[in-house]
Amino acid sequence: MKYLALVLCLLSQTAAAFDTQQLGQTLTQSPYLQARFTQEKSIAAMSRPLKTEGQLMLARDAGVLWQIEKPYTIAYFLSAEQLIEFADGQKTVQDAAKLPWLKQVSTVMNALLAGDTVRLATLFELRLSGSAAHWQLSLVPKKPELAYVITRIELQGAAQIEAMQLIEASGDKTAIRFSAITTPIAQPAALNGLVSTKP
Amino acid sequence: MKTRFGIWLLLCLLLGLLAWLGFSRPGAIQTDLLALLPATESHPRAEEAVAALAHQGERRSLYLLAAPSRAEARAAGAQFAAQLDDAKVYRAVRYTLPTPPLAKLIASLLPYRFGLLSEADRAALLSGNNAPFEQALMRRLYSPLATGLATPLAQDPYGLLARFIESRPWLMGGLHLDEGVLATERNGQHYVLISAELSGSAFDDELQQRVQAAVDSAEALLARTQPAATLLRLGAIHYGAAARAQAESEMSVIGTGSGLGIAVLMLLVFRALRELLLSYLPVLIGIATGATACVWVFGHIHVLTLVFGASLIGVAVDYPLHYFVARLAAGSHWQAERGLKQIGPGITLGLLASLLGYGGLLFAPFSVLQQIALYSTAGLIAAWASTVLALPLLLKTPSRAGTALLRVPERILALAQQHLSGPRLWLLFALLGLLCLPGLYRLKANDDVHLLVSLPPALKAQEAQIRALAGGGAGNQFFLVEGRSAAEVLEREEALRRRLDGLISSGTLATYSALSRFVPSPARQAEDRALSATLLNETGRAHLAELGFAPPVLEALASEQANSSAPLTPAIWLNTPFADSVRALWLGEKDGRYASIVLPGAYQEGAALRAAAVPGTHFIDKTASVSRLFTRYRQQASWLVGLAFAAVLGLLMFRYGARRGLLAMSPSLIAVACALAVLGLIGLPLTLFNIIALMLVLGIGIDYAIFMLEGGEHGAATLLAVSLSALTTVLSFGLLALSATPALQTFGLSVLVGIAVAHTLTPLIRGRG
Repeated sequence: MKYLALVLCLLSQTAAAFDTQQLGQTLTQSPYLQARFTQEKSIAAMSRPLKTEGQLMLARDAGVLWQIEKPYTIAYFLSAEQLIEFADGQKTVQDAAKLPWLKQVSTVMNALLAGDTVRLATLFELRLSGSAAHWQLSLVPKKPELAYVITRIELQGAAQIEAMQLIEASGDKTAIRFSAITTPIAQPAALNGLVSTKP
Repeated sequence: MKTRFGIWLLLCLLLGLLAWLGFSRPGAIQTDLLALLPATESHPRAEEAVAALAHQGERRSLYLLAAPSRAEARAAGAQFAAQLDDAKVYRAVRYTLPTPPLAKLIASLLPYRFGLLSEADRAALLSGNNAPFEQALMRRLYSPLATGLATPLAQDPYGLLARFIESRPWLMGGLHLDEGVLATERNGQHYVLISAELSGSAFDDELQQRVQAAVDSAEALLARTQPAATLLRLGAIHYGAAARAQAESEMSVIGTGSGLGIAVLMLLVFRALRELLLSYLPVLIGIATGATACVWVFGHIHVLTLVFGASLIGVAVDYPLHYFVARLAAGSHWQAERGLKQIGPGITLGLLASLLGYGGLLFAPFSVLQQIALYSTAGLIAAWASTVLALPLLLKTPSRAGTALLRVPERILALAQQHLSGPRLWLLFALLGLLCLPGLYRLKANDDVHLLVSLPPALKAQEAQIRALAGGGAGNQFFLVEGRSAAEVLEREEALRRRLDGLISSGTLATYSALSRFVPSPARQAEDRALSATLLNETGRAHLAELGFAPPVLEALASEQANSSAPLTPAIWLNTPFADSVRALWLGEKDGRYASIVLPGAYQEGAALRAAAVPGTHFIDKTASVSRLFTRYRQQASWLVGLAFAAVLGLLMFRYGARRGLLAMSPSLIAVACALAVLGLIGLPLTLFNIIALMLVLGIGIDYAIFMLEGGEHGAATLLAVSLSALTTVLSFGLLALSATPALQTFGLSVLVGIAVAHTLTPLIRGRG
């Protein structure tokens, strides 16, 4: 009986030990992701950290809508082709032609939120620790043009990503917590007009 | 005789030594097609500008790889760049651009940031619209991910410097950066760019060959591994290599053709190998002397001169020809010394006439013409000297060929005397003159400098394609901007640029390069400083404090803004490694005045560009200037030819009497008219080079006349010699007419027609008893 328990224990441990591939598969299952976020940014030049709260909607491989509700209302839609800003009822569109960094930044953002470890592995060195119940993923940029801006990214989560910390090369830190995470099958209404519906 | 031969041998040894020394130096053979153009610009710094641009472009080669898909283009580009790099013919091969050290760039501009605004920011601040700045700051503070070029927040909260840097024209018009590679897409084809820098001059023949070999083998590999990809190339080194290859092939065609022609002639007429070999002797000495003289006097010899010099074979062979014919005619009564005395006056006069014809070119302020003149005069003198010094000793024995061949010229002379003398002769001349009129009427002049060069159509097409895709211009037309100070130059550039921007929006001009796009004038920087101060004044700083900026940060910002008034200057900017794309545009200070170049990219009409010039700027068009110079030379040379004709006519009339003098002149006159008429009928233009050719025709035509008149009782022999010499000349210059260089082509054709006509009419001179 004791032996059986030990064997079962060992088996469950082996089943639990997982890699970035498995993590990726767990996370990137749904085409859409909706969540609430609280973001805290510590910037050296500022006397106090900047806090924002809001809602995000991710369409995997297409774009992310970042809606800030507090301390004021502003929303950004970030995709490989455009950066759209929604402020005071005004919509400002800027294309990739004007913003040469847009494609890379939106790819990283999308991959991070979607948990697309395969794509992340091409741009970052990944170090995974913990188990499927609670994991930590550390990302260090491979390419110099990315390393110029970002020193390290940390992700933590369980069934979904729960927290993210961005440490910039300038020393500024951004910490984001996610909550009320849902993975709708249908495209959320807010994304209509920004992202074409997935088949 | 023996001493003379000894002297000649010594001279040949000296020649050999000088030739070996002269040609063993690198760069002895010059392929730079337009580098030998005369100075034409009246503005003192224009020539300096032309040289600066030429020098900057000379060492750069551009390669564009085209493929149906982005992946294939990138693969082809990577492979080609690797191959070129391995071959080690270029000092630097750039395919993937290294990430520029942005930190260094920002650091070098940071002290001047208050005066550096992008055009969009300037426009927004002028209209009092601060919204974009607020948005940029909000995005910087609150967006989840760092975006774009980031200047330190504490020093540039609104990102003004970042936008200034981002909006500078770092790349050529048509290309953009695609993951580290300069690329573009047009009509379904994807292109990637590779640029390479030579370590030496593009006109160094050894380097040319090595580069050509490396490019050929890389292209061959590409054909095997990436058949869908094509290679386009642009670079002075390719034109230089093509020019050299073409010159080599033309020289060998002319040389071999003439050599063989002479051989056949000699064997047919003299039936012996000895004359054939001996005829080559003065010719080869002549060519060697001509080439060596050029290399020693000018330091190098241009390929154009070499190609032209090959056709000198036909003229240099005249001197030994006369000697051989005299020997043939004398039969068994031949005596070497006496024979020399017999032909001596004739060939010496002939040499003098040729020297007069070519000598005039020595004073042309165009160095290729001077080279041709020196080559020809030195070569002919050497050929004449060889004939006079060496041949008598080598031709002591009489000729074994019979005098049967002389019967033909005898018959011709008899016929001419019988049927075409007296009034009939003048009628014939008048008729011939009339026949020339239609052709003369159609003749048009063209002084375009491009007639001097023949660019291979394939290379030209590739160049055109690359320029269309990359948006760059050809670089031979530009604006020279000058002023009393660097500030004035930059202000004038800005005024010019406002006009050029208008042309860009109307589609006439694609793009342009100017230093003031990176270094605004001090006046402009002062304006921008005042504008940016509205964001960072007391009210502005209070607003930033509300947003959360720490007080020490804002105090530092305030004091820095108050204390920094020194503008960014050209000297400072050019000291950074980021200024490479505009370095050649700043000419700096000279004699108390400053100058710079504004370089237009691709454009449609030069007239619109020329009209855009503002006070203090000059539109420089070097090729047009040289073409205008050629027009002037052509007109002057035409007068010279007319004068020469008159002078020679006077001399002939003085020596031979009025009627005979005019008679002797007629073949040359009609030859010139016919040559011009043929040009007009075919549709070839009249150029400076044709006028020079006509001088040659005049010289040689008069030679024939003088020979006939001085020939005395040896009329038939003289006619035979003249005929043979005409044949060889016509052959050589006829082969020159096959050259791909238009200037050489028309030259060869003019001489061909001129000599053929002059020769045909020569027997008629003896027609008068």
